[in-house]
Amino acid sequence: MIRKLSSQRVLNVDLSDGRVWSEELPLEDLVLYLGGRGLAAKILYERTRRGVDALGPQNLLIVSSGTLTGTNAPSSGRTSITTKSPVTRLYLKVSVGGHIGAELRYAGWDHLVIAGAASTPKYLWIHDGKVEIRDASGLSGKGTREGDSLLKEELADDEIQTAVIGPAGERRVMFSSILCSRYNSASRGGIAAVMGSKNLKAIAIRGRGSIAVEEGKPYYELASQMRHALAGDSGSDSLFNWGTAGSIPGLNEMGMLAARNFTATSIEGSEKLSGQYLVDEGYLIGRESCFACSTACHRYVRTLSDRWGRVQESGPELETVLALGSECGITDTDSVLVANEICNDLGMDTISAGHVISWAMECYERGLLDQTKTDGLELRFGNAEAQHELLRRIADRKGAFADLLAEGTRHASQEIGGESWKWAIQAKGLEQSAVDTRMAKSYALAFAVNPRGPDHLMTETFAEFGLSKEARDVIRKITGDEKYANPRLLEKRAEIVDWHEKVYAASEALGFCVFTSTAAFAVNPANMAQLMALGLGVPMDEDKLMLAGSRIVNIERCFNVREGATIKDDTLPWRMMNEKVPSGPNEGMITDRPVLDNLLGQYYALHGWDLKTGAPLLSTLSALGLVQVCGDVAVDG
Amino acid sequence: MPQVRVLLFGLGDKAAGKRQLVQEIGPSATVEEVWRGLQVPGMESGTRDPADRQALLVLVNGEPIEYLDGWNTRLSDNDQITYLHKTVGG
Ligand code: SF4
Repeated sequence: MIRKLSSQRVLNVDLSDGRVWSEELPLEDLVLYLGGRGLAAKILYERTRRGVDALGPQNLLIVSSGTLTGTNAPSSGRTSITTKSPVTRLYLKVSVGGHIGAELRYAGWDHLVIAGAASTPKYLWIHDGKVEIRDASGLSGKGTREGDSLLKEELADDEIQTAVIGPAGERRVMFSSILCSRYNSASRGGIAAVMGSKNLKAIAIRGRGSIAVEEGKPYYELASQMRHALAGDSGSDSLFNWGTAGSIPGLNEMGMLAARNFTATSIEGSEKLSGQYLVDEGYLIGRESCFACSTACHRYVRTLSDRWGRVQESGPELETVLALGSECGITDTDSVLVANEICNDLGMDTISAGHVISWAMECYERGLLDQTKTDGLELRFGNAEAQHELLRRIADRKGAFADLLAEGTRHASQEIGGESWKWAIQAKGLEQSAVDTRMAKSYALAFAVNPRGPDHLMTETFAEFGLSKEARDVIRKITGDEKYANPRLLEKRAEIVDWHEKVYAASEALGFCVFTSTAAFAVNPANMAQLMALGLGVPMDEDKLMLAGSRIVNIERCFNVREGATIKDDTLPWRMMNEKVPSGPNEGMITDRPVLDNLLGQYYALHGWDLKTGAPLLSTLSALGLVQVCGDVAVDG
Repeated sequence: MPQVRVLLFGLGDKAAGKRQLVQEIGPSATVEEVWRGLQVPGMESGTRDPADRQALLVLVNGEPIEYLDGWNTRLSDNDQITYLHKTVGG
């Protein structure tokens, strides 16, 4: 079966009654919301009600292929998974690599909307225009690796693409993750707990169809030019050579390496966590790519000692080595590889898992916890054995302490009491990724307004550091002057965040990896728009694309407003606003409440959002043509 | 004679290799001059070319030279200069 690239075919599955049906979304919506993440946000808004129980059958789990996914557009195979988060109780979008997005398109659909909840464990088998809801009782309790292997065995096809949850997702751990295409973790916000609440253990997909673009020759020529430009970008080499963990030496030397639950800014032995060290010492045995990507930033690694157990699997990302390594005071390479594998196999978000434990370690060091309260674990910084054991217990919710931590740091700190809430590096209920927002002001603003909580995976403003010519060019384009390429400045931060929000939204809607557009910069709004126009045969240019990005940002904001979010939720973890950077080149820096309020004021004004409530103004939604979609939560003005 | 400490990451045989040198500098020496004068066995010769410098992250006392005076940043006694490969992604 050959389908047009402009097709937006939705596969609806209701697990409560087993109904399955397809629908085609109108082309106008594709132009207005760009597809992928954009259309998923609209579907979530329109098809759920205010206050929907995130773990109830009325919540939706929406798997969306990027609009250009399935073609050779460079690094265009990213997939968005959208839902309401059980931990923040707000909008949640997770972007994941691998191959499931392309496979879904080849199987005949562009979005998968899952509603309801099955009464017994099930998996979805989607193949070449057919859908089956199958018994998954044989997969229950299995890790994601075994789950992937068993599905391939049962379906007698090694080429299938899977999305599998582990025991953590089945037990609704609030930071459980879905492993896609075996190696790619869809993490943050407890996305797998939503899948677990639906009694859906896995999705298996196989497609042998293809996708046709409107204007083939110019489309493939432009895609090829973009691929070459990407290969020439100064960022691409380092991603291939050392992966994301190649940034460890630079972060450590710049005093920006989060360590010991954000109480230190560098750590002795940090080089052993670096991507360079993995290469030098022989931990790295291969590089992995997502669909249509030649950057290949993912790692395939092995342990070199038996001390913590043998591992030969997908390797850790930068955020993983920070969360499970330096933040927990651990710099033993083998230990971090094993901890990463425990998380991936049991299905847990390494960022939150590491930070829940680093928070508990700080509580222990300060005397708020002891072994009577930790079910016997000596949770000191640097205790890798205790960390591994606790990770396993959390995934199983084994014991009262692990069960408490499985709810995330916000809830756990409320239960432990004392001043522990100050050391919980979270906002909106989500553990912050290991970026020090005290010195980088666009990051601080972007993290505070991030609809899913404070991390770098909705809007990364790396360009504000101005460390490459390409980055400084982007800042000049946004602000008119490259002098604003300095993360410590307060001026123009709202503009920088606004531009990146839209580019992130557009990139993910089309399926592009944001590393190509906001870390390397060869994929940009102009060439994305041109490619979309050629591929779909629709009118599209840079301005229209950015306007569509703005629509996506506004719908996501409206979802949170409908759920009761206000400007009070646009905040950062207490430590990030109240404790100055303790040491290193950035010593004494802080993004305190007045500074953040100032940045937020500029940001709301730029967005046309109410300064008192943070809700979009009616005039803003009207200008974007969104009144019919989400005007019910707008504020007059 | 004023001295500076020079740290080099990954510029020799090993990607994670770290070298530390102490270098004497003349009055008002710059980051550029120190870089040109480095004598380090095994250091990639290519990175000496101006074009390849785009791939280097250079810090003076932990501060990227982009926020200072670039390659013309003047050095003082006891400054620490770090040269490493630029990286991206998180
Ligand atoms: S750059 Fe890395 S994360 Fe992005 S698409 Fe390529 S392999 Fe995947």
